[in-house]
Amino acid sequence: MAILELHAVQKSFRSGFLGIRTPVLKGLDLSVEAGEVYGFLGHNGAGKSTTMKVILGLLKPDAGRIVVFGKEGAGRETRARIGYLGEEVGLYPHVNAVEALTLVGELCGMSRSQTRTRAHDLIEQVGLSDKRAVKIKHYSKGMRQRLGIATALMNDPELLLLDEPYSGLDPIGRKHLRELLVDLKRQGKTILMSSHIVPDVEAVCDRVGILSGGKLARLMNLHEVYAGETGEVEVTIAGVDRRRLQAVDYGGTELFSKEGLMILRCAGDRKLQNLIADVYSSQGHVIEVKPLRTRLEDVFVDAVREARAGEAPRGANEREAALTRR
Amino acid sequence: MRVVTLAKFTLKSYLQEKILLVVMLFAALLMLSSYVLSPLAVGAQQKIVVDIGLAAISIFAVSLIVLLGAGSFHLEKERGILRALLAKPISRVEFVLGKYAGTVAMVSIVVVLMASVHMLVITLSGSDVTDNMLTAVYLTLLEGAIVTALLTLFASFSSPVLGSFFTISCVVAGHFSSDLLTFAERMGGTTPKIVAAGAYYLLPNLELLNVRSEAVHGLALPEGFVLGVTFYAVAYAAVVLYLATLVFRAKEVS
Repeated sequence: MAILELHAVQKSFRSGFLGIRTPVLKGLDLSVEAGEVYGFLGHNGAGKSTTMKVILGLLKPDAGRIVVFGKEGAGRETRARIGYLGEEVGLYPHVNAVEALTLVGELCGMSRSQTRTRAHDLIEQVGLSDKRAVKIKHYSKGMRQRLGIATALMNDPELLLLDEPYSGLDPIGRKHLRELLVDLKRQGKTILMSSHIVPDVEAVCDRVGILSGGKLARLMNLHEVYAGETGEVEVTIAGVDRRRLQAVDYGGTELFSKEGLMILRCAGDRKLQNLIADVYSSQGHVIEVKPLRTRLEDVFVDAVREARAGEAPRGANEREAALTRR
Repeated sequence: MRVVTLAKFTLKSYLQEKILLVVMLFAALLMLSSYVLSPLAVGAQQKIVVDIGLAAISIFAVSLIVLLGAGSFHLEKERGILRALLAKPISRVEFVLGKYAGTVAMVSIVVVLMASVHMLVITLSGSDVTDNMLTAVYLTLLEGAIVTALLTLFASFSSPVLGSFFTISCVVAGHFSSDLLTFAERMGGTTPKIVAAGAYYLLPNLELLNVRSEAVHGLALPEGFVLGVTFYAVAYAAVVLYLATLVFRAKEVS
């Protein structure tokens, strides 16, 4: 069952002195199923944040429909079931973590005791226990981000909208957040998470939508992406003279070479057999042959490139193709 | 309840501002200086102390509303606080009312504190605090409520600089609005008359809330005056706030 649906949503912004409208979303269709973690990928300026704001009713769409929990738009009752973390965390600087969460709790209609218990639990969960009494203006970017995540979770939302949640987090913070998201997923929460950093999305998402050119350029299940083979292999070999191997036409590229160890990438066809035979005939040995899988990063880059090529004016496509060839 | 929560946090954020302390210290110094310098005005010492004190309360209260109020709206937008709050289950009307209530609470605290210093200075100068002086302070509070409503309206659609400019313009024009009516009566031609009369009714009649002269000279206020102006101030602020909510509801929060 879809918890969140966007149908042909369009949104443009006025810019410049003449107020000319620049379209950002050009008929976006999106559907997020209950209990899934949906990765919303897109390059900078693709419209990921705009989409989130449109869902929350902070921005009004020019056209299209937004259905959340089966209801049109995001009214107050609907927003009570949503947790949101924006690009900027949006916290009063002069309050501490407990007070910030108390504000959110009270705005969400929680009782005082409920608010207090939940606030302390969440502070613990995001690893800010020792900083709970410190004013937010003294927090680092990463600490503010963690507290922002806690504010998004304060009302125990069914749907979480996270706009670049990993932004500003150090490796430990990223790991914590990843574990937290996996835990939320286990609890059955639905998460729409935007990012332009592919590994963040890969780590937790079930499905990924790539936003480019104001539309959903690709939509895929992550396990389908990884199931796809590229037809190429990565071969690790040792004990072979590099010059001798260079003389063999194996139709690939050298990725690494040091002290007799080489990593090569080549097509997994007959030439691979020739390469292996040549390695053994030179008294060397093959350490590993690894078939290369499709990477989400490649899919993302392809999707963005295709969308841009489709948008580019006549002549620009050839120029881009020429640049790519070079 | 949500309005109270927002008002509480708005007030708290104002109370952290250093400028609040600076302005209040300056106001206190001005009142004390009026006490020190009053002997120079032979025979009118008490009047000088009362007049300067009441004027300082009014001017500094309005200045603080403009200085802090306009900046507060802008900073909340810049820091993403506005977006984060509006993503929660609160309506835009509640947000506007919460901000308004918080600002009015800040002005009330400031006015009461300044008035306390003023009363202390009056007592030190050997005079009594009269009912008219207390009425003047109360009417300054009402003026603050109107000015805050105007600022809320202007801040909801313009930049802090423009919002402050519009508010100050309204305050200045509001203190001379009765002249507009006189001007309209003396004008020849229907259109200028209508325009001047329209401006008179549109602008807040802030001079109505100024009873400094009565407080200084000990003149009696007409019966039912305080009740009448209270009704006027509350009604005017309510209409302006209603307009502010209409504007804010239509506004996009990017």
